[in-house]
Amino acid sequence: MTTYVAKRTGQMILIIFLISIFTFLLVSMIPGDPVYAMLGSEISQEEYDRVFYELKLDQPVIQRYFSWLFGAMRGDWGQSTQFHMPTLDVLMERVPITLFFSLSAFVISIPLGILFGVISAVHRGKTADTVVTLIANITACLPQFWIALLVMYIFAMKLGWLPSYGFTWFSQDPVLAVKQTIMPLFCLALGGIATTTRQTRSSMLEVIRQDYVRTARSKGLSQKKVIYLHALKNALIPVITILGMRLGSMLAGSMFVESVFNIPGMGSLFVKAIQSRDIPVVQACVLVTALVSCIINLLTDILYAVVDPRVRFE
Amino acid sequence: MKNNDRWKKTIKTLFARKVAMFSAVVVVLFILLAVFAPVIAPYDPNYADFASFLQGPSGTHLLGTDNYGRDVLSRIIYGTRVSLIIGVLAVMIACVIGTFFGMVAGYFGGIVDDVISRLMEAIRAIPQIILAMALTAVFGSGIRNLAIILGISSMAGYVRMMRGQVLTIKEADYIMAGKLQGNKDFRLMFKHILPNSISPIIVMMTQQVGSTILSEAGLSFLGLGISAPTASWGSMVSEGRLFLMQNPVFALTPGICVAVLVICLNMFGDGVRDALDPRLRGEV
Repeated sequence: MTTYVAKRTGQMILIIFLISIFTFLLVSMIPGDPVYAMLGSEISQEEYDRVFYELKLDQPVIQRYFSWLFGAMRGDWGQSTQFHMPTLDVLMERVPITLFFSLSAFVISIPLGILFGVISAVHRGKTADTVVTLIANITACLPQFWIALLVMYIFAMKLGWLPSYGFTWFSQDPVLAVKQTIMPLFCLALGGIATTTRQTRSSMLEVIRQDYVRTARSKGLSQKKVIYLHALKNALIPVITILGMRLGSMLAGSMFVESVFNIPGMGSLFVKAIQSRDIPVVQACVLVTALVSCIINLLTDILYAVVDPRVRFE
Repeated sequence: MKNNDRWKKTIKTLFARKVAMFSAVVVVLFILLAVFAPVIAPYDPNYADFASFLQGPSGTHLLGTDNYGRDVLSRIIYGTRVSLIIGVLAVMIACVIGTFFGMVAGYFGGIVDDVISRLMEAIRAIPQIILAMALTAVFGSGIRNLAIILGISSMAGYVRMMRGQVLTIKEADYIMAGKLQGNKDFRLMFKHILPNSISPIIVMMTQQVGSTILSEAGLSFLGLGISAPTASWGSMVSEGRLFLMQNPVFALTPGICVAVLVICLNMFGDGVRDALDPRLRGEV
């Protein structure tokens, strides 16, 4: 087990290293002069020279990459050109909000998705199955920003029950915080529920056909015991493998939800940074997202090895 | 079984599935809309009539007008073009690049495989839409660039699939025979391995068009994709969200179009998958 974890961790570090090269190269690939791209073309020669040396553009790419990498490891992520403050400080304000939404939506959607998936698989071909499958298939295809807009139109604009935008931490104003969180969280969780439902349903259907489930039935166990004690355990194994991807798509979906509900998270920061060519922030956002998904992937891989010992001896 | 027979059977099974056929009809309708947009659209999509902006649905403007007085229905019809062109182009780009690298990785193995596989794992670690957004900073937007961006950001799946395919096919006797005959590596790859993995490639492509269209709509919604004045469904939702109170139809219908097209493409893709799989066709 220890060797397995060590091997996986090593692979993760390699991948993060590759991603750091990629995010760095991204900037070198941006067409045109990077100084003009950052500050616009109406700057004095002195200013140009200052930024030119600040960005170490007189040095070769490899040297620049390593000084950037070591800087990033020490917490120096460069200066945000749109906020005129260190990138790390900008991120520190924004990342917790996005993580709050992504993780809560993740925690809500997984058990619900599994529950619906089991219901649908157990009642295969009956009305419950048809309804669940149909709704899950349709929701998985709806654009997230559209759901957000529709929900906002109905509950904020037409009914006036909930505020249409903004974000408050629970500790600042509990009532307002809950009100502002309901809609974004719902939109974010919906897609996750749909995908988890589909995955659980199909893997549950595989498992139910197997001999040991028939044995459990034939020795007289009740339907509930067969499903929840015997079948579900094995059916969940493939579901675990997609958990990492689910959190990644929550982070991505957060981009749209934050944009619609005007939430000052990392998603809206990323969009703004791309539009205003705020390179250090773009780099930092890509790196943070990749880092979070890599860590989650590592955790699910370990979890996978814990529940399914065959994986360890691969 | 002869190759010809196999395709006939596949098409026959596909036609027998009602859901797949229904969704195929809807997709074809969307394609016709895109091709004949100038004939079908009641107005010029970019004609701004400032005298009648943000009107609700009426006899003259079936879906009302937008904030510049442009006809929403006409813009939606023209938007079909953008979605379909980008969806198909991006999938083709992803497929060509991804299949090639997957084949090379699987065939040569060793260090080539290691390098390609690790790179693809790195790409997969970044959520697709975030990767695509970062790439728009480099390539810029517009239809051609978006197709390239979405193609690059979704190619990792093809690499993985094709690599797996090659690893199983490589062991087959006929590949060994071809090698002993003195065939060159690339000839073996393109003449023998590629044709034998064509069905998983087709399945993957049909299933990817929908999600690519969703990504394009998302990028355009965030203002990083197709920009004004070109009509695209995502950017229409983005413009319309500011005027939800005045004309909700303006923002909400393009989103419904995305959803309907994507649902039908996915159901058709599922149909193709089932039809190509002999086990699901009920033969084995």
